Amino acid sequence: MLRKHLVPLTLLIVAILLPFILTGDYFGHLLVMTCIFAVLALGLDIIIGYMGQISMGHAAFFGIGAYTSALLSLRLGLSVWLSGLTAIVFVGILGFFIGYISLSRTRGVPFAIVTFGFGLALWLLCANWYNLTRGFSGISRIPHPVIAIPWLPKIEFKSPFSYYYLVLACLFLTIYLIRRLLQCRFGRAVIAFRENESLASSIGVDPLWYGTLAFALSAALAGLSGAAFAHFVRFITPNLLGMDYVFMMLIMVIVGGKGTILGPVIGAAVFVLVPEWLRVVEQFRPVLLGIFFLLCIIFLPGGIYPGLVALWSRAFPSQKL
Amino acid sequence: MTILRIEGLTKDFGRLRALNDVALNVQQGEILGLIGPNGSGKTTMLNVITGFLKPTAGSAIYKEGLLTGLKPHQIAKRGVTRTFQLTSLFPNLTAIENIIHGRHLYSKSSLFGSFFWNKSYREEEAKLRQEAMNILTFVNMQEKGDMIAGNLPAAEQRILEIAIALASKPELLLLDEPASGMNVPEAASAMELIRSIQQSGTTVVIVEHNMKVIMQLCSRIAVLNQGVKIAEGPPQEISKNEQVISVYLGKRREKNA
Repeated sequence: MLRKHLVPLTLLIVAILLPFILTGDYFGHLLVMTCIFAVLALGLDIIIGYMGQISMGHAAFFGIGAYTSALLSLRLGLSVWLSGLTAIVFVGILGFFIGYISLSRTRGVPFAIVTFGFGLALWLLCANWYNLTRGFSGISRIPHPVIAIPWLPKIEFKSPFSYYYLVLACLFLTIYLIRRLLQCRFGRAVIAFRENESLASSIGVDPLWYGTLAFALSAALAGLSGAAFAHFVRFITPNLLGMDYVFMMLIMVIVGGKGTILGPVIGAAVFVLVPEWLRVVEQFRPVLLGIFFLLCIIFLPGGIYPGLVALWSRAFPSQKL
Repeated sequence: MTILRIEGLTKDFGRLRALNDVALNVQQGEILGLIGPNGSGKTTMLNVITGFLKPTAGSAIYKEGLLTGLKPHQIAKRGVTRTFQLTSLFPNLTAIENIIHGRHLYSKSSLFGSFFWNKSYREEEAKLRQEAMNILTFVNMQEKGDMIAGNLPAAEQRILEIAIALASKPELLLLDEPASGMNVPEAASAMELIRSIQQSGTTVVIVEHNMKVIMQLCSRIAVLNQGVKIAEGPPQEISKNEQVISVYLGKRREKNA
């Protein structure tokens, strides 16, 4: 029992202590970004790793989550918590419809293209609906979350240090949710869909229904990630819905290790940290980053995390991780 | 009592008529054999009955309810489950997980219960695992529970497929060449298993190439040739039927030809 929970517990303690080791706003910023993108990558991994499809529309869910939460808190003056929650629900519903339409007709590469099409359409909408989004001028001065209970000191999540614990809580909640998802009827139906769709439907799984639900859940997590991003960076543009983010999150999941819990988290960390380390060779950064991902794919085709697990079990054959 | 009534079933693939006005009744509790040469329409017939293909004309009625037009998962919910001609399981999961996943229709473990790890969820999970183990024991694979399905020997993969189908508690089980890829003793024990499935109250329709196997197992046999049902009846009758013999062995050469 203890052994089973040893790894997650250690990771939790390390994650909580991390800001005390890597002090300062610079590291704090990187840690926050890692957590935000880890939630995004974990959400996308529901589609890629557990459902066996590829969505290229998730940047739109990320961006719309950011815009919804930002606009609600800024224009309507809703509390950040409420606007964030609304953003998650709204993006989840949007994901439900887009997922239903895409899945009812396509699988595999056509599915990726259809979701990409939806993402592109939403990106264009966001870029050109000037009255709502102010286009490429972006939205700035987005409020940060505050816990204000009367008689108690006000807690502001403004500094990277405090915001880190907020997004870390989101990340651990996401991880727990996905772990529990895999052990229930819904999650098993999604896995059955990935493993063998004909067999799944022949034993009574409705692939369209469970696929759509999984897509909605995945979109909602992207919405959560987007909202967390908006209230931390406090400035957003339609680029959040764009191509860069589409490929960024695909690479996070694939390089980190699809279909695992820690893979997408590692993928997110790598994607945040490696470009920072490469700052010393500024002009070669994109090239070196490309080479890095290429090497990852060639030498660790299953992803960094499964690769590490394989190395570990080769080094210590008797011990199971 | 008739459990499945097939009427005027026709299926065209372009200009090829794969099934031509086939009528067939399946009686409750029997093992019905469906035989015929390659390309005679046996698998097409299973695909049409279970909703994987839409018929061009005709209908399949299961216990007074129309199956035609329903999707495969809806048909499974009504109690009709099929297996596939080519090995078809959840290859990356263990044998027991394969069956637990096959238990979808009867699983009540919700995401909510799983998230809060409540009592009804834990009881449900324990029950699921126990039921899955019972099914594994029934097919005599209780020692293989933790093996990855894709790594099992071919014959055991085929048995596991039947076990997955059983997990969905079918009243009518349609087996598509369950013994293909098995050697003689393996096929014999598979037939034993199918007989015990029938004895536990499930109606079985079995598509099979091997005449010897099917003659011993089935109470009735229907023969398809080029999409047309050419004979139906008990095994002894079928084995004497001139038309069936000519389809399987070729036409007897006419004297003085």
